[in-house]
Amino acid sequence: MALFNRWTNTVSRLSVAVLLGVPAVAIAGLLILVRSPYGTKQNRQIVQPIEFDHRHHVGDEGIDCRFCHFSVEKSPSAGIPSTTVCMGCHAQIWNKSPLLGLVREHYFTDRPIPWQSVHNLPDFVYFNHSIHVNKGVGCVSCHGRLDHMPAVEQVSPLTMGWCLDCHRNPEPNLRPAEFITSMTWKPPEGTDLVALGHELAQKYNVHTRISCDTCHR
Amino acid sequence: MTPTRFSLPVLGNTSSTGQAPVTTATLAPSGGAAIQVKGGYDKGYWRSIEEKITGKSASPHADREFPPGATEPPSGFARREFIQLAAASMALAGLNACTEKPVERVLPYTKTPDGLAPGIPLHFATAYSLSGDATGLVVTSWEGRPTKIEGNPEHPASLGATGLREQALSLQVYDPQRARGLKLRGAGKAWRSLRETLVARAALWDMDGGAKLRFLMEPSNSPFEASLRAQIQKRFPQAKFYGSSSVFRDNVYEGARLALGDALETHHDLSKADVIVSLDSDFLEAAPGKIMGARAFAQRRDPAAPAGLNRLYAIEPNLSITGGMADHRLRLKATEMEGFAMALLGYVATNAGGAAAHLSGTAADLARKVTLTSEQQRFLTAMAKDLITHAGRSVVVVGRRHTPLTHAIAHVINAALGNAGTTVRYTKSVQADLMTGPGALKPLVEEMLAGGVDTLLITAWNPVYTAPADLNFASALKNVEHSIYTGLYEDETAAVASWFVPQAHLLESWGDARAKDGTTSIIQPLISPLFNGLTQADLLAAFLNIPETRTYQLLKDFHSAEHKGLDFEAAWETWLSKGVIPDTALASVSPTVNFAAVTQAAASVTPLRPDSFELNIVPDYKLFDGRFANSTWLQEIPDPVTKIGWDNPALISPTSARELGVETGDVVRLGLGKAGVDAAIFVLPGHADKSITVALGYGREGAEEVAKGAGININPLRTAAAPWFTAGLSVTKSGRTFPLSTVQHHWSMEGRTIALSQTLEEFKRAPEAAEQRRALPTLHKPVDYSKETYRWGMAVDLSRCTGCTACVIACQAENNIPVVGKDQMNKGRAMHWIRTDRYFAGSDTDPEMVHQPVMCQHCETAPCEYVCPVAATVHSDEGLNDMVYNRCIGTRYCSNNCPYKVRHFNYFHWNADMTPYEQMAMNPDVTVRARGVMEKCTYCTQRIERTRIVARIEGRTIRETELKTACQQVCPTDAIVFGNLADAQSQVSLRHNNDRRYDLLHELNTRPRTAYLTRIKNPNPELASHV
Repeated sequence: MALFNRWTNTVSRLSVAVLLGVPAVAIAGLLILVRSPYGTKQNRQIVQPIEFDHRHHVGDEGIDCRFCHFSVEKSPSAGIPSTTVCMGCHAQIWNKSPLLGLVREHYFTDRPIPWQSVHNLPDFVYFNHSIHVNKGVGCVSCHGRLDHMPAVEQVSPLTMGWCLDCHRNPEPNLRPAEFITSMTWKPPEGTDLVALGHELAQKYNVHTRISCDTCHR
Repeated sequence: MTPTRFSLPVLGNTSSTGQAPVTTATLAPSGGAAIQVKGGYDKGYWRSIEEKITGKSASPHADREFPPGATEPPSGFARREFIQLAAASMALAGLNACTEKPVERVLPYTKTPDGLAPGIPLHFATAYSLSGDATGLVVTSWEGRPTKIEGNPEHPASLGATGLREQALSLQVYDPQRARGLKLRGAGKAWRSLRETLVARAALWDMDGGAKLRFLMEPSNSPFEASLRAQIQKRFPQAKFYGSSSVFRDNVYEGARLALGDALETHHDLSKADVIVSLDSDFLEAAPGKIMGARAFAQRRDPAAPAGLNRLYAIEPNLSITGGMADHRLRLKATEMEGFAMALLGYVATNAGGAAAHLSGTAADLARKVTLTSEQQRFLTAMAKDLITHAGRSVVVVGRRHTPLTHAIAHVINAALGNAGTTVRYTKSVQADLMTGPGALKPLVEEMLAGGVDTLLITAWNPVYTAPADLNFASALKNVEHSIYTGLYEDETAAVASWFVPQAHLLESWGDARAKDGTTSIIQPLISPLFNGLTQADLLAAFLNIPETRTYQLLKDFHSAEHKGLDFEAAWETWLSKGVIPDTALASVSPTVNFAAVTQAAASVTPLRPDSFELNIVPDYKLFDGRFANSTWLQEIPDPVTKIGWDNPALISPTSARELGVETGDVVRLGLGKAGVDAAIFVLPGHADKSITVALGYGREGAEEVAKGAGININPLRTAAAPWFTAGLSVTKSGRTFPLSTVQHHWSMEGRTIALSQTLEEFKRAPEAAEQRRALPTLHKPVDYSKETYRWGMAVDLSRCTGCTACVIACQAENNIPVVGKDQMNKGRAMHWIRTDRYFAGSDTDPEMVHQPVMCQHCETAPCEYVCPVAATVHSDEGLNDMVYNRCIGTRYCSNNCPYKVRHFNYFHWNADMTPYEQMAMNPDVTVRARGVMEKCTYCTQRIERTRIVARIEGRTIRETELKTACQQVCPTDAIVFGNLADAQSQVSLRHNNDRRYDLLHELNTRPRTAYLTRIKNPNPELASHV
């Protein structure tokens, strides 16, 4: 007579499986969750105080990104346009539009428009726009098709893994400097993509670093 | 909800009495245990007097790797309770992920200012005048928010460097305790009401010429303010201006008047001086134009300097930074300095011949009046011979505290040796008031007491606190009907004066300033006044009924009138961007030295040789006269010599301490006549016997919270007759003790060869640094960095390092380093990324002092990296030892394994309670660390990355001149050099290949990227046994 019945083997195996499995699944689930678009806050249209429509400005009017985001080529920050930039055009056109009432109000009272931040990196990450733009990484590569966005949303996960993917192999994400702000640029039909990436990396002296101090200070 | 908020136990608010490293060892020599003093580089360095005498460290814990408390978890809680709470907070930390992060706002400008791109800091030139001594500055500003002060390379008094106080200005401007409102006897008032009062009174002054109108001014070198003063004087001819400063230079000018016939300014060109004699002049740190002096001096401390090594003799009562750099140092009571100068004059006049030959008779008489000990005589003879041998290439410098006669004697000696015109030159002074000491204040106080003053504007810093006690300034001030005081804080004077006007900070002001050599700079504001402050010029203008909104225009008009025939607007813009107005330096004058007047004056003086204790008062290295007492940065920086923070102890020599039976930490009563002050003793090797030195600036009682309770106020013992030193001090033991926070016992280096120092002869015979840099055999294959474009490295030249600690505070400002407070500092938790270790060698009475800045050595085989369980500290491709805050889980293994002890742990969330004002002082380019992470020197990686990106966009490599670490940039003597080791021609490479180069703890084979260069001393063979 055995001390334990045979079914106790099943129970103990099950217990072990549950004890190990449930936490493992839970932890894995959490890890997946924070990397999911839900966790990274991707694809959420952010409501802004003013209904600024990139579809219209970028898509219909074809205004270059740098017209408003003026410091993107020289500064870590791309720059949010000052209200004066808005009023540069809208003093002339749509200058009575009720949609722009808040812009005029903030302009004439000299108060900043409280835009909501869409892309929010942790405080210990120091991203620099200028070096990416100057080395052939286009706006669309990270920010997506702004010309299709009624309200701007974050399309990239902005996780460290995502950064490193490109820093380890930047060549597929490079484009000629003259198309840096283009939303629609595609390599010409029949181009050898690997050769093009390699050529651009040579041309712009692309030298990505993956040491911690590249981004963390 | 941050879980960090409630996991935290602690704050063992233990009064530090029990744990403080207050010395308990007896001072009686214990014979055999004493550390042997050896020759050569291995001199047997010791860190404190207790260690020297007893052979073991005074702190019972000093044998431990860390000081007590530094490795303990927060106490005051049972461990079980701690773990429970920790577990609870872990669980809640998980929940944190389920909450939405708050939405961040992005607020653009309405109209972007010209030249500004968000994310790129701008730099503006301005100038700072401390008690009349102006230095050019360049201030870094992030979108209108000044965060970092640098020196202005174009400015002759800065040369790109600053002292440590200038660095603290960027914190001071955001001090939330700064005064915020104008007050009349404590009640808030509008600025208009004061202006209307002044206008009404001006009508009365117009009638009597301002007979009862007085001004007590901060020493000023501003031409613009001088013009306002002239206008006031013109309108109210009976009004009088007085200057006042606690750290005054009256004796310097009186001495010049005696010897040269005019109150001229003396300039020393130390680059041409082979022999320098300092009669208690702390010219490396405490004299006007100190950076110029320190730079020139340090360039001659390099044995490779084309002109050769210089030789410095220092004669001083208190061990100063300058004394620490001296090749020979003589301890002498301050009261005996005048006699020593007379004896020196006697020797030089008798033996030098030349211009002084005719004096030999009278001078020999003078010398006979002075009694010197045989040791002093030997020192004097050797030194004087050296001076004479180097006639024309030597200089005698006298400290501002000493008598006019001592200064006059120095002028005579310099003239006799033919130094005038080479190492010494004279100009007019730029000061508005030459006399700013008690002698100038006394007549004003008498007028005030006699009711002769009904309106008094005080812009001088806090005279109620600084005025000598016997003048009774506070009670005289109560006698003035309308007293108007302006200051940054509501300090002691604000409490007595009827009107208080908040002062605009330097970074909020328009103005101008002239450096000692005459170079004029425009002061421009970096930020509009945060607390509605007004400048000194605004207030002066109010007396002329000019609104403060006009002072900027007045300033421009003034300079426009001064520079006729220029395209003024263009010139103005250039001056603002350069920070200096060209060709404004003063021309040298060649006065005739009146030998007879000086010898006559000396003949009527009986040299003092008091037997009693003397009280010796010095300006503080950090707080100056107390005006920086509310700066947490400056309070916490350890004093360069004593390594004490947050206090000003009474410094005493080991011999005198033994005689009195006191030891470090004992409270004694210092009595002078009827006045008395309680002070804690600190036994300082190298201090003169029978003399007690106390620094000014502590024991403040104003509204400043930080300043309160730090140290003791020595001003009650200052008298108008003897503001600096006097004999007749009584010292009584009180039986109490007081915990002094010193970092001296912290981070012990356990008697290894750390800071190497050799004489020039020893170095030529056997440069023992060579042994300390050889490659050691290793099992590991070293990482190959030879392919990298950049291999970052640093080199610290101990020959140049004076130990001024400006690097410590520059690092603090650049890298958002928190302040921990006195209690935590006592536990060894100070966060400074660089420390300047101070070692003594030799005897405890006449020690040699060596300073050594130690920051992360960025070892190529870094011991910290092997032990980190989470790879939070790893190596970069260019050889930096990176610290990744977001990975760090706070095991502190890395710090345990670091042989240099340069890693600092955030035991608390030091930055948690910052006010919005203090947040503005943070450098946005550096992470503000939270509790629980390790941090350390990064070689200013934020500066490397910024510069790299700019260079890579421009398609070139980084130029040596465009990248400097904060410590390198601030260093007055170029002791610290940082750069690219892959470039064989870079300064850092040249230093790494220098014969004097060695590696710290070389035997551990950590292959540090920071190299040290041996300190070389140049002793006089005649005084060989005398350090």
